[in-house]
Amino acid sequence: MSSDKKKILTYGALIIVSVFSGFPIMWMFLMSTRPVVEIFVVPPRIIPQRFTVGEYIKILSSSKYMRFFFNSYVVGLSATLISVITAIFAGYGFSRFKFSGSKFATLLIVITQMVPPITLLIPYFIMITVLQLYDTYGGLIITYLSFSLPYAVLMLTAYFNTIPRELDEAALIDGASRSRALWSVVLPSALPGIVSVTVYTFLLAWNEFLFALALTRSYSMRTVPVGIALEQGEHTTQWNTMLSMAILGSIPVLIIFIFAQRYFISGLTFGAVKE
Amino acid sequence: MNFKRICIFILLTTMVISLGLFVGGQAATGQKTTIEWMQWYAPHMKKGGMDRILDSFHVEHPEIQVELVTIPFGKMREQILTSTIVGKAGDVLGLNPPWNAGFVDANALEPLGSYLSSAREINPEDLAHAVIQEYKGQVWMVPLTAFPFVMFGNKDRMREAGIGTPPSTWEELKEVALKMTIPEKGQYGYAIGMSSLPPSNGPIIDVYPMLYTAGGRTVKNEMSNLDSPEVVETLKFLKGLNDSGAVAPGLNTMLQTQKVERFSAGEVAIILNNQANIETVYLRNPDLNLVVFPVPKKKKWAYRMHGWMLGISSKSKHKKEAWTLIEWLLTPQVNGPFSELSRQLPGNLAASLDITDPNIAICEYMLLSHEGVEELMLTKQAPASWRIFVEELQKMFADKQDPVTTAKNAHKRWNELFATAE
Amino acid sequence: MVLRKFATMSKSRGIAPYFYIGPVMAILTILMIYPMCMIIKLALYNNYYVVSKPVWVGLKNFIDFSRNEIFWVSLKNTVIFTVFSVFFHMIVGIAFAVLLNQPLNEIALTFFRSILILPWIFTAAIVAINWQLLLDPLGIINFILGKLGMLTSPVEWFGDYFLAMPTLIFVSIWRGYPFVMISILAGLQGIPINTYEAAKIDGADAWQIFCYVTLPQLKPILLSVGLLDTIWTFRLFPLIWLTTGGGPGRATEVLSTYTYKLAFVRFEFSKASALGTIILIFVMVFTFFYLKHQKPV
Repeated sequence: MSSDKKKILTYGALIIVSVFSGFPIMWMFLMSTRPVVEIFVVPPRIIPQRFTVGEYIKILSSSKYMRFFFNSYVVGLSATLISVITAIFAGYGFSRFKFSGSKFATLLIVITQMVPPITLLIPYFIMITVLQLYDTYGGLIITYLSFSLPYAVLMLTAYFNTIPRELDEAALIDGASRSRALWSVVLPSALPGIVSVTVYTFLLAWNEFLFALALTRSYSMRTVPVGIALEQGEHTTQWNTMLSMAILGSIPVLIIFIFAQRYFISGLTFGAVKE
Repeated sequence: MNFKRICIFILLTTMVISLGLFVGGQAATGQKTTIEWMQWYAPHMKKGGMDRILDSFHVEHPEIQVELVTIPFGKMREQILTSTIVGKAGDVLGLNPPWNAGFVDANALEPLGSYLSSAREINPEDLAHAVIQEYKGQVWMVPLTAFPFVMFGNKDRMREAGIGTPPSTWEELKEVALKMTIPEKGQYGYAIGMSSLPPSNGPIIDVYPMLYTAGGRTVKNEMSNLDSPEVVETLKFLKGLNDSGAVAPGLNTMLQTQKVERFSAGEVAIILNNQANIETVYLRNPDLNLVVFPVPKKKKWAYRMHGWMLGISSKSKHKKEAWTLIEWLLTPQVNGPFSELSRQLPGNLAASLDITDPNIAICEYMLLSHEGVEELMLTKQAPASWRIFVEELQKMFADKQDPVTTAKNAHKRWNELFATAE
Repeated sequence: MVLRKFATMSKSRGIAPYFYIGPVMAILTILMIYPMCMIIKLALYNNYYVVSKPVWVGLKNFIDFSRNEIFWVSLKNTVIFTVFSVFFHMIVGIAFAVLLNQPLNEIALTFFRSILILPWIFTAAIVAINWQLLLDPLGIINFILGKLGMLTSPVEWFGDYFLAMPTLIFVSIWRGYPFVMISILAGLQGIPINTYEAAKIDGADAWQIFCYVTLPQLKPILLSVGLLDTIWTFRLFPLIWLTTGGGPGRATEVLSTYTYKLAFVRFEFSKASALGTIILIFVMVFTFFYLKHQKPV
C-alpha cells in the first residue's frame, strides 16, 4: 500500500472516529445556545431557531458562577501537583528498587482503589470535619489526593518500567546521584507518561461531584460540578445553563491539553543508549 | 533541572497550598447568633428574592444572622442526613413533606409542638391543614408555602381539536387526550413520566392526584392500601389511557421535569403538574396559552397538596433562634411576599395575595374549597416506596403485567418495606 | 534485545527505596485506614447513625445478601457491564492511540487528539444529561435513524428492558476510552522508530509489527491500565446512576447503585457498608488472580 493511500485512509479513519467522539459534544454546544423550549421541540432541530449566547454571557458576567470555575481550577491544580510529584518519587522507587514489602505496598495501593466511593462519603465527611478542613480547599485537595495518588503511582511505575535501566546505569556510572538519575535522565524519557498521568489526575478532581458537594457548604468554595447540579431544581431544570457551564469550564482544560501535547512527543533520547 | 531546584519548587508549592488549606468559607460574625438555613429554595425564587427577604429579617432581628446554605434539590435529602450524622446540619432546614417520617425515625428533626402552641405572631390554625400532620404524636415541619397539584392544558391545541372546556371527569380526559393526539405531527394528548432516575417520583405526580379524586389512599394505618379498589381503578384508567396511544412515548425514561418541557414546547396538550410550574411555562414559552384546571374527578374534587416546609435540626445549637426565623417567615406580612417571590401559594392561609392571574386564582380556589390530601408525610420510607411503585408501574405500562397484578405486587412489597422500617 | 540486569540494582541500598515511596504510603495509609475500618465496623451492626442503639449482628448482613435476589441481579449486571465496557475501552483506546501515532501533519494530529479526548473532560452529570437528550425517544438520534429508514417507531434506548444495558455500555465506552487511549499513546511514544524500521526491514507487515513489537513494549502499561479500568468500572457509580438510575426496573441495577439506594434512599447504612465490603472483596480476589498471572517485570 502506497504511503499516500495509507495517509488518506488514516485521515479518513480519524475523521470518522472524531464524529463518534465529537458529535455529542457538538450537540451539547448546540443545545446550550438555544432557549430551553427549543431543546425539546419535535421534530428536533439541529440548528436552533433562536441562536443565543445569553447563557454564556450570564455565566461569564456572574461572579458566583466564575467562582465555581476558579475553585475547580485551584483544587484541581493543587491536587494534581502534589499527586504527580509524590507519585514520581514513589513510581521510581517501585520501578527501580527491589525491596522487601514492595509487593505488599503495591497491593495496599491497589486496594485503596477498590473501595466504592459512596461508602466512603460519611467516613470522609467525619474525617474532614475533625481535621477542621470542612468547607476549605484543603479538605477537597486531601480527598482527591487519596483517589488520585494510587492511580498515579501505579501508572508511573508502569511507565518507568518501560524505560530500560541502562539509562539510569549510564548516569550512575558517570557519577550522578540516584535522584539526579531520576530527574535528568529517566524523567525526560517518561515525559509522555507523566503528561498523561497529570491530565488524568486533573480531570479526576475536575469532574468529581459526590465529595465536592458533601465537603463544601458555601458558594465561595463550590466547584463546577456542584454549580451544574444547582441548576437542577425541584420542578424544572435549566438545561441550557448546565450545558453552557460545562462547555465554558472545559475550554481552558482543552487549551492546556493542546499546549501539553508538545510534551507528548518523545522518543528523542532513545536511540543513544540502545544501539 | 537539578535536585535543589526541584526541592525548592516543591517546598514553595506546598507552602502555597497550605495557605489554601485555611482559606475557607464564611467567617464567623461578631456578637450575633449565627444560624444556618439549609435549603434549596433560593435559586428557585425570583432573582434577588431570597436576599431581600433575609435583609428584612436582619433589620427586624438584628441579633440573629442567617447564613444561607443552598443545596441542589436532588441531593437535599441525602445532605440533610449526612450533615446530621456528622453534626453539621445547621439550624433551620428546608424540607419536603415526604421526608417527614424518614427524618423523624432517623432522629434528625426537632418536634415543633411546643413552639407552635406558644407562637405569638402566627395562629397555627391559619397554616395549611393538609400538611400539618402528627407523626409519633408530634408535628415536625410547618408549611412555608403550600400548593396543589393541578392540570395544565394547552388552550390552542384544545381549540384546534374543537374542545371548548377542559375535561372535568376521567372519561372526558381520555376522550379529549385522544382527540388531541396526532403522532405524525409529534403531538400527544397526555404524558406520563415513570423514569427510574432519581427522584423516581413519577407515581406521586401522575398517579396519586388522580387516585385522590377517586377517594382513594395509598396507605392506611401505616400499612399499604394498594390492594384497594380505588387504586386498581386508577391504574386501570392510566393503563387504558396509555394503550389508547394518547400518551407520549418514552414513559420509562421521561422525567417529570422533561414532561413540563414537552408541554411548554407544545408537544403534549395536557399534563398533571403543580402550581409552582405555572410561571415556568410562561417563561419557557410566552406564546403558549396555558389554562390551569383541577384534576378531573372520578368521585370528588380533591388534590394532592405539596409545599416547601420548614423544620429545626435536632442537632441545632440555636433552636430558639431557628424558630424565630421560622415564625417570622410564617407571619402573614412575610409569607405573602415570600410566596409571591417563590411563585407559590402561601403556607399561611391568612396571608393575603393579590391574584390577577386566573390560572393561579384556580389554584387558590382549589386550596380553599377542594379536599387537600397529603399522605406522604406519614408514609415510612416514602422515597423507597415510590421506587417500588415505579418498578411495578413500568412493567404495567410495558404490558408485562395487568393493573390488578401491579397493585398486588406493589402492595406486597410495600408491606415488606414498612415492616423493616422501625 | 534489552537485558535487564538486577545485579547492579540496589539490594545494598536498604533505606533509599523507603524514602521514595514513603510520602505516598504515608498519605494513603492515613487517609484510607480510618474510612476502611469504619466501613467494616458499620457492616457488622444492624444499622448505624440513624438508630439510637445499634445492635451487633456480626455477619448477618453479609449472609442476608446471599439470599437477596436483588443482590444477584445487581452482581450479574455489574459483571456484564464491566466485562463489556473494559473490553471495548481497551480495543477502542488502543485502536485510536495507534491511529494517532501515525506520522501525519502535526497540527492535524493535535486537532484530532483534542477531539478524541473530549468525552473525558465532562463530569458524569453532563455526560448523562447529554446522552439522555440525544437518545430521548423524541430526540435527534431516533430522528436521524428514522430518516435513514432504520426505525419505524421511536426507540426507548434507556427505557427498554433489553436495550437499556447495551445503551448504557455504549455510553460508558464513549466516555471511558480516552483514559486507555491517552495512556497507551503515552506508552507508544516510548517505542523508538528504529525498532519499527528494523522490523520492517526484517519483512514484517503492519499487523505483525503491532503484535510482536508494539504490544510487548506496551505490556506494563496495558496491564496497569487494564487492572485500573476494571476496578473503576466495577465500582462505577455516577454515570450509571445519573443515566438510568438502575432502571428500567432493575435492568441496569449494579452493585454501586444498589449500595447507594440502601444508604441514601432507605437509610440502611450497615447493609450498604456490608455491600461495599463485598464489592471490595470481589475486586481484591480479581486483582489477586490478575497480578498472579502477570509475571514480575
